[in-house]
This record gives sequence, C-alpha cells and structure tokens, in this order.
Amino acid sequence: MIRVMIVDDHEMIRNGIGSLLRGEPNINVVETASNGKQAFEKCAFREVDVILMDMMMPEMNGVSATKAIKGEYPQIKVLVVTINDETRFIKEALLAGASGYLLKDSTRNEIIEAIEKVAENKQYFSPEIVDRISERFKEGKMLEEQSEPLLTRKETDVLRLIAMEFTNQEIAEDLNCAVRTVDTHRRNLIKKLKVRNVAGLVRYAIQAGLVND
Amino acid sequence: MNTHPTDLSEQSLARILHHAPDAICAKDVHGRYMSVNKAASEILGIPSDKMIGRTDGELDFPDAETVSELDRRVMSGETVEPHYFSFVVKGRLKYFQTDRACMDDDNGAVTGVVTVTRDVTQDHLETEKYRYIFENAPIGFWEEDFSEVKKSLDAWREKGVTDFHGFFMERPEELDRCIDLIRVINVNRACAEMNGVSDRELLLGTLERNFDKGYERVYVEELAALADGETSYEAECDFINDQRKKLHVLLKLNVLPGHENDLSHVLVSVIDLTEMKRLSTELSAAQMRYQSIVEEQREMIARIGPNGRTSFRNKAFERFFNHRDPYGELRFVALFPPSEVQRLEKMMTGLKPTAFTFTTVARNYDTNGQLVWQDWTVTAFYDRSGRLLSYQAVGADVTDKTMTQEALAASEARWRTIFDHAADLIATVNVEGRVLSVNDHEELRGLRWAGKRLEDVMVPENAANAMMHIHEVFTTGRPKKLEFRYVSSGGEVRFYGCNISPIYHHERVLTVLIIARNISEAKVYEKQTRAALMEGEEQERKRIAQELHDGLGQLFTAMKMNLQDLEQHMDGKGGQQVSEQFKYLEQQIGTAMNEVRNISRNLMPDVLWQFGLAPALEDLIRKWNALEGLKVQLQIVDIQGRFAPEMENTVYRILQELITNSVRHGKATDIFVQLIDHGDELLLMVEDNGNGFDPGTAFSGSGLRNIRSRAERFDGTMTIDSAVGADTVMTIAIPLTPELRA
Repeated sequence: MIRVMIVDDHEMIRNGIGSLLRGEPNINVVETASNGKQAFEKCAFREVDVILMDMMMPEMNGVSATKAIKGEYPQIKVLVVTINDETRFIKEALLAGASGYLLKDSTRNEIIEAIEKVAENKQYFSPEIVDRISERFKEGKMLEEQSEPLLTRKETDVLRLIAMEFTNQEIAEDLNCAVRTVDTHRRNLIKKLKVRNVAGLVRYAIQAGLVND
Repeated sequence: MNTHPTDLSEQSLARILHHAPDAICAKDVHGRYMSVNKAASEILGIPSDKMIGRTDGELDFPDAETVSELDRRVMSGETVEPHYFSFVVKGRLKYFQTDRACMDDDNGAVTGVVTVTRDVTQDHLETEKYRYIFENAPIGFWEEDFSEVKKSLDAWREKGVTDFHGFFMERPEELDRCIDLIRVINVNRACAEMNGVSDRELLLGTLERNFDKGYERVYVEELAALADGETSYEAECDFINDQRKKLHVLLKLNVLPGHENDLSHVLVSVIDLTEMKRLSTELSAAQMRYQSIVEEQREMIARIGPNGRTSFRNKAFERFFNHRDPYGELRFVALFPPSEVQRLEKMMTGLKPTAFTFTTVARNYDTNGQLVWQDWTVTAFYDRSGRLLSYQAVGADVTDKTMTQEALAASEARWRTIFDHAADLIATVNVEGRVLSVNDHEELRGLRWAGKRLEDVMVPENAANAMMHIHEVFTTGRPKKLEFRYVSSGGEVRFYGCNISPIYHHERVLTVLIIARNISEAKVYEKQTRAALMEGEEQERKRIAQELHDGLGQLFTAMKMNLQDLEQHMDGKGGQQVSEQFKYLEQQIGTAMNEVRNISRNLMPDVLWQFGLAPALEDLIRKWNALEGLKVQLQIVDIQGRFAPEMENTVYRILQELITNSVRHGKATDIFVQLIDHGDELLLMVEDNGNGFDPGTAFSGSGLRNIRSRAERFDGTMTIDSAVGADTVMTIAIPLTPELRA
C-alpha cells in the first residue's frame, strides 16, 4: 500500500485527484494540504510515501516545499503535479529533489503509473515533459552552462582600444558612439572579466590576443 | 727612390739636407743617432755632436718609447702613420710631425731609420682654434662627412644627370638613400643642447631626419647645391629636436676648405630662430591689438577749446557727427538738437575748477534721423590760475537702455498691475542677460535680481542654458516656449514652463519678456500618475492572469479529472460510441486548458513571479531564439536573489519591448542582451545589428517613450546609442536602493 499526500491550493483539484485514485487498491490518499508550508508541517506527524505536489501555491510554492521536505525526510518521494510545462519549472523541481514531473492533464493511468514508479524509487515524467527535456538537449548548450564570459562585438572593440591606451572620448569617436556608452561598456567589462581596474582589462586584452603588445 | 748621381752630386745633396728647414735625422738599427742636420739640432736645442751615437731615451727626448717603437716597426717593414708630438722650443710650445722611412744597404739589409720632423705649430694652432670655436660657438654645429654622397653624386653625373634638383624630386628613394649616406662626425655643445641630449655620441653616425614636414625640400636643395659644386647652402626651416619640440631654424652648410673634392668635412650650422620669430610675432600681434583698440573704440571722444569748438575728434565721434559738421566749424553744443542745446550750454558754462565735470544723457539723431540717446561726460581742464584751457567730452550710445526704460515707463500703469500681481514670474532681460525689471515673485523674493546679470544670480549651468534660449529669441525675433530645467544651488531640480517673447522698438528687439511658471509639482504629479497607471495596468494583468489560472484553469483540470472518473465508473458500459465521446470531450478540455495557460502566461509570466528575473529573461530569450534567422544571446552577471516584484516586472517588460523593437523595426538578426548587477545599479544593455535609427526623431515613438517612463518609475535612465545604418546600443540603468532588493 502506497500512502499518498495531495498538496494543491485548489480544493477542486485535491478532490479530483482524490476521486481518481479512490478505486485503486494499491494507493491510499492519507492526507491533503493546501500549500507547501502546510505539507511540510504535516509530514511531521503523518507517514507518507509519495507526495503529489502542485507548483504554484501561496505561502510556500512547490519547489521550496520539495526542498524542505527532501531535506528533512529524504525517504519521502515527491511527484510534481502541475499545469506548468516550462523547462525552467522542470529544472527547478528536479534540483529541489522531485522524483517525477506530471502534468495535470495526464490520464488516470498515467497518474497511477507515476505514483507506483516513484514509490519504487524510480523516476517518472509525463511524455510531454520527456519531449521537452530532450528538446533542450538537442538545442545543445544550456544557457546557464556558460563558463567563459561572453563579450559583445562592441565590448571587444572597446577592450582592444582601452588596451591601446585610447581615452573614453577617443574610443567614442572611433566607434561612433556616445562617451557614456563607452563608459558603461568599460564598467561592464571590469565586472564581467572580474578584474579590478583598467590595468586588469589591458592584461586580459593582451592575453586574449586582442592587441599586439 | 730613384736618384741620378749625375744630376745631383752626393755633396750637394748633403748640403741640401743639412740646410733643409725640416729636421732630418738618421738612426742605426739600435736607435742611435748617426747623423742629424742643422734644423734638427736647432729644434731640439742640442749640438749635433752631442746627439751622435746616443738614443732618444739617453737624450731624454719626449715620447722616447713611442718613437723607438715606431722606428722598430718601420725597420720591420711596416708603414706607420706620422707621429705628432709637442715640445718646448726656446720657451714656446711647438707642435711637430715626424715621418719616417727605413734605410737599407745595397743588399737589402736594414741599416737604420731616417726621420723627417716638421714644425706644424702653425697648422696645429689653426686646427685648435677651429676646434675651440666649433666647440664653444653659441650656434649648433655638425661636422658631417658627405664623401659617400659625393661618390653617388659623381656616379649619377657620369650617367648624365645634370638637373639634380629635378632628379631628387622625382626619385625620393634616392634622396632617402643619399641622406642615409651622410655621416655625422662631430657635434658641438650647442648642438647637443638644441637636440636636448647630454650624450653627444647619440648624435653621431647616421643623420636624424629632424626637420619638420617638407624636410625633403631642404635636403633636395642642399644635395643639388653640392652636386652643382657649390660649397655653401642656407635655408630657413622647422626643426624638431629630440624632445619633440619644434624650432624654427636657419640651416647653413659649408664645405670646409681643402675638402671641396671629396666633401669629407662639411660644417653644418643650425641657428635657432624660434625665439626671434616668437618675439617678432608677439610684437606684431601687440601692434595690431593696440591699433584695433584705437580703431574700434566705441566711445565718442572730443577735445573742445575754450571757444566751444572741437579741436580733436576720434573716429567714433566723426562717424556720428561728420555729416553735420565735417570741418569742425560748429560749437560742440550746436551738434545737438535745439531742445538740448540750452541745457548743455548751461551745464558747460556752469563748470568751474571746484566742480569740473558733469554727466548727462542727451537726445540726438543719427545719420538716418533715428532718435538715439547718448550719455555724455564733459570734463573741464584749467591752468593754475584757474583759466579754462579746454574741455574733454566722452559720449556713449545708451539708446537700448533708455529705450527700454522709456518703453516701460510709457506703459508703466498698464504694466505694474499685471506685473506685480501675476502668479507667474515675469522679467525683462536685455541681450547681455541683464535683468532690467522683474516682478515681486515669491520664489525670487529677497534675491534682488533687478539690475543684475543672469550669470550673477544663477548657477552657471542654468545661466548658460537660459542665455541660449534668450539669444535665440533675440536672433530670430520670434517668441519661444520651453520647459526649463532649473537646478537650485542646493541641487534640487525644478521645472519651469517658460514663454520668452521679444519686445520690439522700431523693428529692433530691445529686450525679451520672460514669463515663467513653476511646473515642478505638475511634473511630479504627472510622473506619479503615470506610475500609478502603469502599476494599475500591471496589477490588472496579474489579477486577470491569476484569475484565469486559478479559476478557469483549475476548473478545466477538475472537469477533466471528473470526466475520467466518470469514464472509470462507466467501465465501458456505454459502448464504443460513449467511450469515443469521452475521448473527444477530454481532448477539447485539454485544448481549452492550453489556451487558458497561454493567455495567462502572456499576461504574467509564471517564471518571473515564481523564480525571478534571471530565469524569466532566460526563458524569454529562448522563445525569441526559436524564431528563424534570429540569434539572441543573454549574459547575466552577478544577479543573485530577487528584486522588488514591480521592478522585476518592469525590467522584464522593458526587455520584451526592446527586443520587439530590434526585431520588428530594426530587422536585427543578432541581439546581445546583458543584465548586470553593479551593486549600485542594475544595468540592462541590449545591442543589436539592426538598421539603427536617429534617436532625435525616433524618440517620439510611443514604444521608446513607454520604455523611458517605465524606467523612470524607478528613477532609472535610458541611453540610446544609434544612428541610421549603425548598430544600436540601448542601456537601461536603474539605481539599486535597498528597498528594491528583496
């Protein structure tokens, strides 16, 4: 018997999922909660195996609640059940420790399969979610995986001219833009390249081969 | 040597040698003197019999060691350079040059050395003198060796070149090569100083091309002169010294006597004319200045004799009065209209040694018959006995001032009421920026602006700004309406709505009338209203989004679940048709759910309010990247934690708008977005490769205005850097106050 807690801020949904699972001999809905905070608190006195967790809720959202619950009760499996199919949410949920990600328009069978899978320590994702994740892999590099700072074309020009000892004024004339913009580029470069001052910029420019020293 | 004994007997040869002016000596292989002539014993001051049989060392001659070394080398078959030495002869220092040759017998065996020593004191002193002058002259001297140049010149001449000037002009590379062939052998102290170097060695060798632009001209002329056999050349030119200072110099070139054939010693002098030139320039400038003061004097000046006639009149005076009195025949007072004559006459006769001057404003008519006002100061001069010698009259045109006062006085009654009781600030200002009149406005109370110039009563930034507008009205003669940004000395910014109108008198703009109203409150109110509107709009979006999500969305979800539940309970009892109906309904509900979700997400992105700015921007960029032919890059730097929701929302919307603009209007294909937390401010920078636009004209576009308003809500600024056909860089900077950090 798998003990389940349903967490959703809408009563309609809690009831809906509850009635879908009612006839299932293997599954027993033992608790419900209307937000993340309540769910976390209820874990202290109610033994559950799987939590069906909504994402967007008042008080404490699904991601924060998952993080808190997995931190305190690592044996409890969290299955995210949401209408949100954006990769950002999927990523955040998985990072928080969720074992599966289910869309709310899943069929009854899918929901049951998902609960059984995660209870067995496996993972489960709705087919649409699997598609979404593999799409992202096909896109190749994930944006957040950048390690080297990316420099824009203008920034590269500004950096090169700084290393050639041009003043802001001269750079502005050379690149045909406002002095203020040059100054912004300069500040951004210092921040992005994690150097302290112009000397650092010059060193970077030389190492990057932007200028012949 | 090939002598013929028949031509010259041994004896006569001996006599010649004995009486020769040079000292001639013969030494054996051991360096012992074998024979010496008369000159030798005279020069050395030792009788010949005392020398014979002794060596230089034994005789204690100068440089004895060097001499015997040279003798030895000559005897071993070497050729040696002449030997120079000095020696005191009869109390005077003399300089000598010794040449030596080896003696041998008929069998070729070496028997000794013959030396011929000549007194070169005269030559030596000449050289010394030259050296001294060369070294200590106040003029920069170069001693240069042109012998290699000479060889080239000769070679070209042999090939038929006759016009070297034309030759070098046409073949600059040959000119360059020639210049490289010049060798600097020596430079003097003044030259080193002029070049600004302490180590003269640096100046030796190849010549520096220190002449300014056009130095080729100097070299071409110089080389052509040398090629034509000239031994001197001079030219004025600009010279750049090693300190990169530009000097104006006179360059002189002289081939030293005796070196005309090989040009191996050429003396080049450079005289610094810079100082001379500067002084003469200054002098002529000063002269011109003085002259122009006299010429341009605006005041009319005249000297008047006791008879009342003018005896001296300056240009300004003549300009005004000549048409009336070309020959100075009239009395001074007669130059004024009848209504003024009596008054002036009285004032002048009223002068006395104790009250010798008066100033008055008098009316007069100019050459066009136009009424003018003149301010006259008349001073009387007396001798010791108190007798009147002469008067001096100085007059200036004060028409503008007086006219304004008159014009004001004329409408005084009409004016004053409006003027003093107006809620607006009203002032008249003349072309110099002097406040001629100002009403008693509460904001200026106690500041006493009247009579002062704007630059004396405003901070420079405001004054310059105001004068720019005032001058415009004076120039165009048309009224102007503007919003004036005034920064108080305390740094507070106030906004004034201003009307500047010209006041005419006889088709001339005499003064301008400024009416200003403080609209700062209205501006603040406008900003607040706009912020409230935007806030309201956002709240409304959020509310609708939430409603859709919570209401419709969840309702659909529940419906779908209930439907599934129902289908479960039916357990296939309704047959094939019912089961298909179920599938169809579920599908329709699914479509409706998607629709609701999309609408809600567009109104308010879930990611933004759930996870914040950085993830939301990443998602936004990803969506744009899905478009064909568009590449959008995003760089997020140091964004940690959350910001105030309203601000996050603002930045998100601004970026949405900026990218939309870049793609839709700019047709950009490459966009780079940066979001950087600089600690004191949050910076959003969007660079694109689109068509660009003219920020001056495009700014009226509601899109950009909207972005600026959004940014201004958080005291942010927007900087646009673009031009038609150029890349565009848009920068939004929002100051990060602690309240904005969540």
